[in-house]
Amino acid sequence: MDFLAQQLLWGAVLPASITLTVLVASWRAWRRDGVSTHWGTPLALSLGYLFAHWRIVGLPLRFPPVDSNEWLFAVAIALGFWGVIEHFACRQSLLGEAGRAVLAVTISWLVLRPLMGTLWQGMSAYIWWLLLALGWWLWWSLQARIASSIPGLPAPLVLSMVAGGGGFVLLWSNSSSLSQLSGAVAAVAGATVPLVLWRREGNIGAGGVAFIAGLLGFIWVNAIAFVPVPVWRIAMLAVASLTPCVALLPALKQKPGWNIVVMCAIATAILLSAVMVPTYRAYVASAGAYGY
Amino acid sequence: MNTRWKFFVLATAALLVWMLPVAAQTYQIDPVHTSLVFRVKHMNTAYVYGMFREVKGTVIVDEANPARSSINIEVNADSVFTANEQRDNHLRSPDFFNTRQFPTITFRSTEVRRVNANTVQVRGNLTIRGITRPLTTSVTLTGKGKNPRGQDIIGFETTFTIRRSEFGIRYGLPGLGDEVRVTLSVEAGR
Repeated sequence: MDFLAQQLLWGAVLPASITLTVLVASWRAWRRDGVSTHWGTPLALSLGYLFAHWRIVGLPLRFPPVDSNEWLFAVAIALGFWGVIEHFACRQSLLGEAGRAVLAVTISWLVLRPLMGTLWQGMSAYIWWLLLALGWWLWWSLQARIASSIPGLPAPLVLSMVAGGGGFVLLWSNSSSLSQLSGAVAAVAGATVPLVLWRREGNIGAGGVAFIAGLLGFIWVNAIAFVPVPVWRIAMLAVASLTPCVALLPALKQKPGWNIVVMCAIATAILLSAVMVPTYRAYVASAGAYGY
Repeated sequence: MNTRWKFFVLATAALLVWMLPVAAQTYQIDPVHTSLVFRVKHMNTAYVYGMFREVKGTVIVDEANPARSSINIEVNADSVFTANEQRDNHLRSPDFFNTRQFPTITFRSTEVRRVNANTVQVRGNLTIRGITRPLTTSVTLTGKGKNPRGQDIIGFETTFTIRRSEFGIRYGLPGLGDEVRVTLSVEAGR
């Protein structure tokens, strides 16, 4: 098996299969009285992602984590459990906001600490930390609100597309591992799509979104801080993920559901191409014959 | 004191100075004449070579008692160079050296043992990406002399192989080789 096929198998196909299997089991999808969402959703997503992480960059060598990649593994476990909490506390929006804020600020501090005093000196270190934590939290909370306002297919589909497109942006910004990990998020988020389609009124719920958006946001924080990926590229990815909001436009409220899904997908693809095309051009212009 | 006594005292003093153990000499690594080169296999096919352009450190040489010798090296991980800017940036990323978080690679010797007139065995700790592993390597003295500025200089070289996965650099395995052969050629002056 060639290198690319092997990476796709271990980093996308098998993680998506793991997630889908756990989802089918937890939603009891084969039964008429199965559910349309379940607290097992974030755990299914977390398990699939952790498998991909193990295969792409290996298991962490230390605990507590030191390396930024090791933190990604630990945070994926934590977000799996946080997703369960969000599932049960989805009506307590203040709890969700506060919890996400505490997680974003605390995890950012722990991960970015090695750069403070070395790469970022004095006050700029604190400004970087707070800006990245704030950006992560804002985007994460926006995704939670979008998912609760527009349940169903748009949220997992758009998040999967953004994670996949973002994977290419990261690849062309000198980070293959973060690119593949973003691809793994796309794969596990994408694995929920057939189930959401299958179950009437199926949706990944607050827990699923908490995991996908939380982890994708953290991958982006890592990309900006450690690779570094230009902030505007990440900002464009964040904007591309807001397209489910088109469903809230008065002119579209009466349209059938699949119409909105198609419009979301097209709008997301256009916005993604607006960041992917210039990133690819910049990569080709400076890469020479590298090609990894 | 007559002339014969003066001669005797001076000769004895000279003999004593000669007999005293020579103090350890401290050399500073000359980054311009020091090379740190590595090679790794690409797609299980060909070796790709790279180097670090910024190496500094101290070498303490005690010829009379090699056990008192030591070497401390600090490499700027950001100075990695493989003749392709994109690849160099990739090597600086968290996929490999993660230079923003771990800006230096260090080696600190813990034991030096003479093997023969021109070779010593050096044990020490190599730290890459924040992970420290013991390393033992055979170091050959390649020469001694004076540089154009009149400084005493000493040169030595060593080659050893490490597994990058042991230092947490596991990206791209097994397509990009795990074994990395490192050659260090140092010129140090005092």
